[in-house]
Parts: sequence; structure tokens; C-alpha cells
Amino acid sequence: MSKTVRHVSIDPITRLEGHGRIELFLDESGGLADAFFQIPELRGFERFCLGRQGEDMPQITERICGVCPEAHHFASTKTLDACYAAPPPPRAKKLREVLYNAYIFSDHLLHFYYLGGPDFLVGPYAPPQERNILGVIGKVGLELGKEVIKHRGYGQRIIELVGGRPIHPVSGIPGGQSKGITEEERTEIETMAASAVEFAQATLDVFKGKLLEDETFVRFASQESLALPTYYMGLVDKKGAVDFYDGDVRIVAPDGSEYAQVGASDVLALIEERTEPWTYVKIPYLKDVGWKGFTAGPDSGVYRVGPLARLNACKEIGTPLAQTEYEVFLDYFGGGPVHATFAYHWARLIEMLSAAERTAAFITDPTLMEGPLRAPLGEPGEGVGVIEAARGTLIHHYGLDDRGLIKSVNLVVATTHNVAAISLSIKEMAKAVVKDGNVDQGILNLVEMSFRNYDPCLACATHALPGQMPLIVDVRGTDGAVRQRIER
Amino acid sequence: MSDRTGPFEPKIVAFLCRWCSYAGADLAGVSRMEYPPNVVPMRVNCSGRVDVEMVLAAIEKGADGVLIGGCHPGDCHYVSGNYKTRRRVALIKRALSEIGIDPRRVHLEWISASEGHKFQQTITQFTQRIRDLGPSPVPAAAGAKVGGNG
Amino acid sequence: MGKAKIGVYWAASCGGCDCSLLEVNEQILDVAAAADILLWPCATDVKYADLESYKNGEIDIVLFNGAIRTAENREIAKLIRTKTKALVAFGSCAHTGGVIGLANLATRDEIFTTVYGEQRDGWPQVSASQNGYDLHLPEFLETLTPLAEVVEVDYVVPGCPPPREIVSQLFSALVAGELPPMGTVFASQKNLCEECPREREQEKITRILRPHQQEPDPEKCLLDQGFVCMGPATRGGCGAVCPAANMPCTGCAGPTESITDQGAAMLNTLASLVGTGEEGEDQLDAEDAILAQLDDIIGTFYRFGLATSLLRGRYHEQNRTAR
Repeated sequence: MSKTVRHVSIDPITRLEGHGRIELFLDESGGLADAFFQIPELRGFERFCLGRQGEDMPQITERICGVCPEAHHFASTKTLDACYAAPPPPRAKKLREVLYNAYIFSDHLLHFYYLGGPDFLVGPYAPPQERNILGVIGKVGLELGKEVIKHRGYGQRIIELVGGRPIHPVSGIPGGQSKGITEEERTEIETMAASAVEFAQATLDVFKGKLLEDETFVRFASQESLALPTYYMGLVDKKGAVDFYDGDVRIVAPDGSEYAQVGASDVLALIEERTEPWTYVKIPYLKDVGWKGFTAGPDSGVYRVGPLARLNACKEIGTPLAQTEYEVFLDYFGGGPVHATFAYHWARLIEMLSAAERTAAFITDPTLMEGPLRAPLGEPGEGVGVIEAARGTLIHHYGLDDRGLIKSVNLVVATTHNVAAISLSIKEMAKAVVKDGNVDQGILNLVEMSFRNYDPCLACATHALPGQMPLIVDVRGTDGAVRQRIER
Repeated sequence: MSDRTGPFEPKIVAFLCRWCSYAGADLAGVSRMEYPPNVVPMRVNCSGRVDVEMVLAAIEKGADGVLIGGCHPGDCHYVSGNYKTRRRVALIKRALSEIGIDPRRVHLEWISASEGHKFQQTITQFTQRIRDLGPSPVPAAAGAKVGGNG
Repeated sequence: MGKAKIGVYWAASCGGCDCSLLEVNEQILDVAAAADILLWPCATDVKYADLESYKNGEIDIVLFNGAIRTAENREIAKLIRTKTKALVAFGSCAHTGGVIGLANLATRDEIFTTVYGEQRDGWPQVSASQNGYDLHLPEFLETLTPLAEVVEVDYVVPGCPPPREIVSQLFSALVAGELPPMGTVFASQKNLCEECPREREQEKITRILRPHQQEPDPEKCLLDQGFVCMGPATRGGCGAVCPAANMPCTGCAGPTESITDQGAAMLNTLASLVGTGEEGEDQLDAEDAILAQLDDIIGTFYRFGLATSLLRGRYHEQNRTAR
């Protein structure tokens, strides 16, 4: 039996990847009683990957997401490198890095100008038909608009040249890459990468000119209730710098102290998941801290991934221009870790710049053009591959039988890690902006803006696999109270 | 489509090559050899005409079993059609196994024009084999669940 | 005449088809100038309530990607069908069910057990109560189907995702107000081999290779070399970019017109090509040994088309008395 005064649905949520719905329940005073973030989609990759050929997994798992296929493609490829004990030769690794950083650049660009950015670039109270890339182009002008399109095109073109196709690339194979690039292609990429660096800096200028001068953005970025003091997870290299392609997983606590730094194969042991009957996604949290409900703080196992988390989990950015911007960012917020959720937009652009710098650096490396593309393969076995998708840490884990077929598969996917935090952010925003029963489309869009910070990919989110991860299931009665807890 | 009241009577489609196995079937007929009536014979010019799609379509349309009759190796009227059939049947069986259909529901036999008795034996044994396997899971699943271990 | 009214929608989808619409780069501005976008959840804020409020046939054309996996996908497909004059099955999932059609190898219960564990009471439910509030989820359907099994489809744009050149052609036709006749498939009518630049010598396949087992010769046909390439059974129009990247075609654009079952057609091809160079009774064991090198028939030959193949998914034999 439901208790509700008024029920408002945002259906579907828009300007993100995937299907989602927000259910708001208002109380008698017209303020927020409760809010739920539901994901109504599931496709079942974890099941139908069983029995597949291992080397087909990069092309199969990348269909989990067509916005971030490169992330799955290379998490999968790296997992196969491990399964066959075949680290790629330098030429193949550098090619992957060129492609991968171009992907990060392209995906972050997409989010700022096409998905989450329009709320501020056009304005949070703009009419709905203008809150999109076309409205952005209308606002910033056709010249900048064409630069946006051109540079996204550059990112995609680099992926195409190195990976074979701009969406759902094919070049990742166990131990290497299926193809190299010609000298003409290398030169083309070098020119595009240099332009990408400049464009990323120009985008940061747009951010500072538009968002940091926007009263709504500044208010949300400084509002305490919208800052979540969570744990943060991201990949770092040996120096503790952000690394999108490889490294150790570093987790920091809300006060910035190190909670853990582990290799890829050990991070799964730190995470536990729970199911809820009202959403198809599962909700991970840090096992040893424990699940305390949808709440943030040092005693809650809720953690975040993605641009803000990576900037909090690292000791430095790792590329010079982005490092300068990172210091400006930290200075603005009074030092790290930065908990303000709206800071994700800024963190994402710092990463966009860093990714462009990395692409520009890797493309001039002479080892890119000579040497073998493939390492000799050992016998098929078990392996883990970890990578930073644009939206957060992504882990693939496969067991191959003696014919190289998948006998076990485990996927922990970026946005899944953020589900608890997204739910929390939505509820806090709804509490802050829903008053006196006013739920016009502008107010509802403010609620949506709270999740857009995270650049969610919900097709990805519904594909975490329990595998050996512990799973907690609360069996509830019809009144919602927990009757029984089952642990696996 | 399929009438499943009463005891199970297999529905079997037999693709028989005109030069050898269909002639063998004719011989069994004129010799008045008895064999179960469960088979729908389809004459083709060569067993090599039988492609993967035809066999799968027969199963999709309700055949509990599919029999292919061809010439003995070396005797194919068109020289090598039967070799291609043999390889196709191997692949069909693999595909059926992977989707949970017993591969024994498809059977290839070499039957020459003079082997009426062999034709009789083949039909009798194959019909019994299908009777033992039971109805094809495909028509049973039509309109209901497709998938898995039930 | 006014601007055309277009829509884009995703059912059970990865978002790649939505992104493919942006691969035309600046041409998207021509589309925006010529058309109003009445639906596109990835990129605009139109909600289901807005869609419901449109008049029947108010939208001129909707590009619908994704397969029908949940009751919501089915319901919205039907709603969109009433609101649009022309409906396009855009991309492999809407066209043939796509990679996610491989989910038909399992029942819903098996999928849920894998994802959520064995305890059914803890699984996501169509209706649930939380903190005293009623919440609903769309039912996960037992079988995944492509769009055309739920509503009538007017055009097909194949591919996973459709390639830039094809999307550009579609947009040019839209902008000019000159769509081809209904029933048109936006792809080549011929198979991929016609446009693949590799040299084909129609050699016998004496050994079957998986892509990671050997670096292919970049000039020769991949099938000739023993790699299973779906090209012969697959529509062209994509420029054969996968073979150009040294990887075999996986069949994402679906079968050519004359083929009913893409996997079956390719299995035929493979059966014809596998051999030692001679045929005869003394070659049969060697032929069997070559065929035994194949793994994962369904994942290789039906990767994008299981949902529209003749046999669709996985079955369960009830009677096990036969020995």
C-alpha cells in the first residue's frame, strides 16, 4: 500500500547514455518526501558472453556501450593480454594509448557540449527545446559550434585510423593490435592532436567564462548539501599521476587519506554489491566500510569514480598544461579532495586537456611506427584488465578454457560504482529545489542536472557481474521492510 | 501445425537424392518392404542441393527429425556433391548442439539405388531414434519460452 | 511546406547508433536547419508525456535503434508507430536483434540468476515497495525481438552502427525531402566481398584460424587464409573497414536480400570451402579435423542475427531416453 501525497515522474531522464527514470514523492507541504533513481534496462551480457571465444570479447563487450566502446574494447583486450600472458609490444601499446586518449578527449567533449553542458551553456532556465547542442551552437555562435563539431570529429577520426572504425573499433587483439598506421595517418593524427590541445584549453576558457560566472552554477558548486564527502577511486601510475590506460587502483577516503592502492586483480575483493527490487542496476560499495544506506561520509561505503574522483584519488595530473589547470581548480575549492558534485564538469575538462596532451605526446613517439604489432601468446588462462573509462574505473575479468573460450566472466563497470552517489545527489537536489509543490519542467530539469554531473552511462551500469564478488540481497515484505538478508 | 494428442508419432523429413537414395526408396517400395510411415520424402537432384537453411527450416516448421540420403562417396552423379553435404551436416550438428537441440535429430546416410533394404533399415532405425528422443523441442517452444535449461 | 519533423529513439541499445548520427560532422547542421527534432532522449529533453501528446502521424520519420527487450521498449515502439508517418529500423539491434540477441541463448530466469544470484525474492520486480512507496519496472521479456516483430517498419538502415556514408545518404535524402520508396534498405544490395579490396583466389580452407592465432597477409582474402569472415553472407555498404583493419567481417549489416538465415548461408559457404585440395573418401578424416578447429558456431555465425535466424535461440530437450 503506498503512502504518497503526490507522485511526479521524470520519464525518461534525458541527455545521458541509457534509460533511467526519477520518481519524486512530495509530502503535504509540497516539499520532497522521497526520491528514487530507477534504471529500467538490462540486456544480460554477463550471461551470453559465456561460451564465446575470448578474442571476440573486445568486439562483443564494446556493444555494452556505443558512447564508450573503446573503454570496454581495451579493458577486454588488456584482460586477454593477461589471460594469454602476452603484454603487447611497445608499438602496439603506444598505438592503443593514442587511440585511448583520443577517446577520452572525444567522450568528455561530447558530454560538455552535447549532454550535460547545455544546462549551463544555454542556461538552466532556458526552454527545453533549446537545452541541447543546437541551443548551445545558437548561444556560443556558429564559429565555435563548428569548432566543437570539428574537434569531436578529430577524436573520432583518430579512433578510426588506429582502431579501424570510429564507433566499435576492431583492432584490439590478445597481445597487440591488428594493424598499425601509415606515416600519412601519423601526420594527420599529429595535426589533429595539436589542435585538440588548443581546443581543450579554449573549452576551459568557455567553462570559466560561462559556468564560473553563472550564478546557478556557483551556487550549486558551493552548496554544502550538494557536496558529498564520499570515498574516491581512480587509476594512477607509479608516480601517483592520473592514468587513463593503465596503473594501480587508488582509493582515498573523504579526508583525502589513502584508503587503498592495489593492482587490478585485487580491487574486486574490496567491493561488495547489493540488489534492490526497484531497479535493474546493482549497487556496489566498499565492503570493509559497509553499506549504511544512501549516505556519504567516512563511515559509509559509498564511493565515486570518474573525473572528480580521479582528480581526488591522484597526486598529480601527469601532463603540464592540465596540471596548471588542476592547481587553479584546487585553489578555487580550497584544496582537495573536492566534494562538490558540480565540480565534475570542471574536472572533466581538465581531463579532456590532459587526454589531448597525451595523444599529442604519444603520436610523436618513434616506436609507434616500427617493430612487431603482436606478442607471442602463451596458453589461455585467467586474467584481469583495468582501465579508466571516461565515466570511471572499468574492470574486466575472464577465465578462458584450454580452447580459449570464456568459461567465466566478471565485469565491474564505471557508472555502476556511481549509482549510490547518483541516487544521493538526485535526492539532495530534489530536497533543495522542490518547494511548495512546484514541479514545473525547469525545477525538474534542475533535479536532472544533479545526475548529469556524473555523465552516466546506464547501459554500462546494468552490466556489473557478481562473479566472485559478494552479493547482498534484502528480501522485503510488501510494506518495504526487510524480512531477510541473503548473502552470497 | 503439429498434433500432439495421443502417443508421439515422429514427423520426419527426408531429403533424398534422385540418383541414389530416392531410387533406393523406390526399390524398397516395389519390393514391398515395410517401414514406418513417418517420413515425408523430398526428392532433390543431389544431396549436395540440401543446404543448411533447408534443414533448419524443416526443423523450424515442425520436423522432429531430418534425414538426408545421398550417394556413397565416390558415386555421386555430380562427382562431389555428397562431400559438401557431409561437411554441412557436421556443421549443422554442431550448431544444433549449441542451441540445445539434440544433433542426432539430423542424420546423413549413404544409400545407393540398389539398397532398398538399407533404405528400409535406415528409416526404421531413425524413426525409432526420434521416437526415443521425443518431440522436437522447437514446436513445443513455439509461442512460449525460447531458451535455456528450463 | 515547413520544416520536416524527425525523431530518434533507442530501445535496448548501446547508444552507438545515436552517436553514429553525429559522425556526419557538420552535415548535422543541415539536418537541424531542415528539420525539427521532436524526440531524441540522448540529445534533447523531450519526455514520454510530450511524445504521447503529439498527434498521430505528426512526426514525419523516426530513426528507431535498439531491440525490443522489455515491455517498455515494446510499448514505446507501438506508441512511436502511431505518432510517425515513417519508421526506420536503424542499426543492427532494431534490424536483426543485434549482438544482444545472443541473450536468447538463455531464459530470463537464467539471465537473472547470473546477474542477481539465485534468490528470486531478491530479484528486481515489476512492482516493488520501498519506504512505503510503489515503484515499477518494465518486464524483461522472455525473448528479444527486432523492431519489425512488434510494429510495421518502413525502412532499414543496417550496421552496428550504420557507417558514416550511409547515414550521410539518409540525411541528404531527408534534407532534400526525397526519401526513396518505402521498403528501401540503406545498404548495398551485394555482399561485402564485392567491395572488399583483398585478393580472392577461392582457395580451399585447409586450416581454420582465429584472428589472434596468426597475423594475416594484408592483401589476400581472409577466408582464403582460413579466417572465418562473414563477408559472403553480409551486406556491403560499409567500405569493408574491418577487413581493412586486418579483422574478419563479423556480419553486423545482416544478410543480403536473397538469404533468409545469415548464419546458415555462411555455414554453407564454409562447408564448400573447407577441404584439403582434393575430394575423396580418403580425405574425409582430414576434412573432419579442419572442421573441428571451429569453436563457438553460434557466436561466430549468428553473432548479430540470432534473434532473426530460423531457430532464434536455445531449446531444451525434454526426453532423454535415447542413447
